[in-house]
Amino acid sequence: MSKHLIRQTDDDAAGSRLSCLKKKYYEDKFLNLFIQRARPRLPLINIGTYCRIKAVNECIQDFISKNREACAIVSLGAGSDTTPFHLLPTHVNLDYYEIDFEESVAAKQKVIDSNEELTRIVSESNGRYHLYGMDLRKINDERYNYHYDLNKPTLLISECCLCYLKPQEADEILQFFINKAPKTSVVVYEPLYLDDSFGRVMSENFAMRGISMPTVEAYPDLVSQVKRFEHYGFNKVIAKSLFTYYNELDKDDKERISRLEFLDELEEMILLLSHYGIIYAY
Amino acid sequence: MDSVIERLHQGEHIPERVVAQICSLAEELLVEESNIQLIPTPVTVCGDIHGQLHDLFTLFETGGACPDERYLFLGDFVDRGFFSVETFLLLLSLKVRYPDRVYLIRGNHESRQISASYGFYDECLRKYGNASVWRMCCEVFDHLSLGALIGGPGGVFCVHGGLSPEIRTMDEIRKIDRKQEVPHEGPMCDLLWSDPEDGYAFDSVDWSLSSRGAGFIFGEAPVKEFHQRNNTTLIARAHQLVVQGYHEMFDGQLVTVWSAPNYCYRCGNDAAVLTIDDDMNREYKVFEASDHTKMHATGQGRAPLPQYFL
Ligand SMILES: C[S@@+](CC[C@H](N)C(=O)[O-])C[C@H]1O[C@@H](n2cnc3c(N)ncnc32)[C@H](O)[C@@H]1O
Ligand SMILES: [Mn+2]
Repeated sequence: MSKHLIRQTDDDAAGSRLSCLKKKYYEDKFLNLFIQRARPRLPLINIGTYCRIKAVNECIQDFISKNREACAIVSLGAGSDTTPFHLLPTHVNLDYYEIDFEESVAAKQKVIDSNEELTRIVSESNGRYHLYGMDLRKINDERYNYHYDLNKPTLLISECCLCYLKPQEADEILQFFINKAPKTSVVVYEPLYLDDSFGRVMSENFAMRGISMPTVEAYPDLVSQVKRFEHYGFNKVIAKSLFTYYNELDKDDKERISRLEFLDELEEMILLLSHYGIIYAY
Repeated sequence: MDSVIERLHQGEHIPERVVAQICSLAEELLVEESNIQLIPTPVTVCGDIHGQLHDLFTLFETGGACPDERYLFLGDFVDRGFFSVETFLLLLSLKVRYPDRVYLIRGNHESRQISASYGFYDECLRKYGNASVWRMCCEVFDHLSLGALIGGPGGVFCVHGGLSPEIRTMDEIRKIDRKQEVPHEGPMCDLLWSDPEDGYAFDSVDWSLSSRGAGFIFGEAPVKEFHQRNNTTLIARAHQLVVQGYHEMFDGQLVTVWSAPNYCYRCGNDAAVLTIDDDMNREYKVFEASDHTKMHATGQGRAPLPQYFL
């Protein structure tokens, strides 16, 4: 898969966030700085995007609440994610590392530099925010000898990033950080079940956009995802489909989002959301 | 009419002026129909089509050519697929040409609000450069009836979505003033939006709010009651994607029929139609996506690829 295409997946993810935000599923006062326009997404995409944002956020909150004294977050393929700018001011013992391709990181830096509030947040973080540009596949290459201070509880986030890599590459990256950080947690969000009838059409559609997900083929379902992380020695691995997560939203929230738009097809949503998983290992 | 039908089969563009004619002829016919149409057997019942024109051709190959066979379409002709205009025009033309061989009832997508956001409006703009075709079609939507009864007493009640807690008898449906945009709530909305769900009967919860944002979820008890009160034996409805194409529930008292294979060029599902014969026997015929849909699924068409989370 070409670097250009991989980088572009962030435009799609950001576009979905903006669509979701515009329909009032959630709020994010910084998102508009990174993306100004996006074609509206279908309600099922908005619902899924909302669940994804919320699910990853809940893992982050859980991690931070357990490690208030000091902790670090490393976001792999961070793209235009705004999470650090929300967390850094209120969590003064948190270090935040974001990694993406050099071009993506440069674009992000430009947005930060051109906005007063973001600039202030970063400068007031006193060096707790790090934005590193590199191809993650070169994680062991000396030329990218970035500084990481991970001698504290560390949460690795891969929100649709490692899935685009080969299983060996993803493993090398995970292993690199697990070795660096004696106490690691991981949250991974990625597709599942590309081998059933819905999943086959899904990979065909991905293929038409030049997108392939070799890691998903290696970990095709929740069971293999659990094994994948147990293998790294995590004590606890929680793996849920996005649909399960949707189902477990509290009643009021579910009702609130059901009033935002008419959802024309429940089964389609169930199918789509069942094909994505959130894995939280610690 | 025959030439329009032929041209639609050839994938030709139908000029706006011709659309206007078809719509006005169709309205004249539909306005006379009762809210619940009485349909004789044998008849083939079809679920959602959603603009998948080439799969509609496969449907006719599967169920038998029109007018040789009698057809009832349960609504949701438009939106999501890339050929909503042609699909709806073909069905309307067939209705006008063979009024007692083709029956159409309204789905929740046959509404201004829904079709404005789920693709039909954009498609009309794209193909005609203005919204007048969409507007004309919406006028026709307002004339579509709300349900059907196949085979008279002891027969099959047909509706797009399902039941309403505000409706006990078919006569109450007949009294609805249907010539309007689909409301956001109330009996007319429920008929087009509700869904059945297994398991409710055991919880002694008969009705609950739908997470679709309109209509209700109903269990077995309301279905049983409806059959007893109205002397019907089966509810045939569409509205919900079924991966196998059809799905019977509540010991065969209700069936969902879904006729859009590989729905949205995304779902990888089969489709089905249901034929009710003179003895009220049910025969399901399952079919797969046409190559054309497969072509779209693999993006060789001009249409945008389905959305996912990246
Ligand atoms: C689908 S986006 C997700 C962005 C963000 N995590 C989110 O969830 O909104 C995937 C991101 O991973 C980055 N990425 C993928 N492979 C990468 C690699 N080998 N090295 C660096 N970044 C990579 C892409 O550039 C892109 O920004
Ligand atoms: Mn419907």
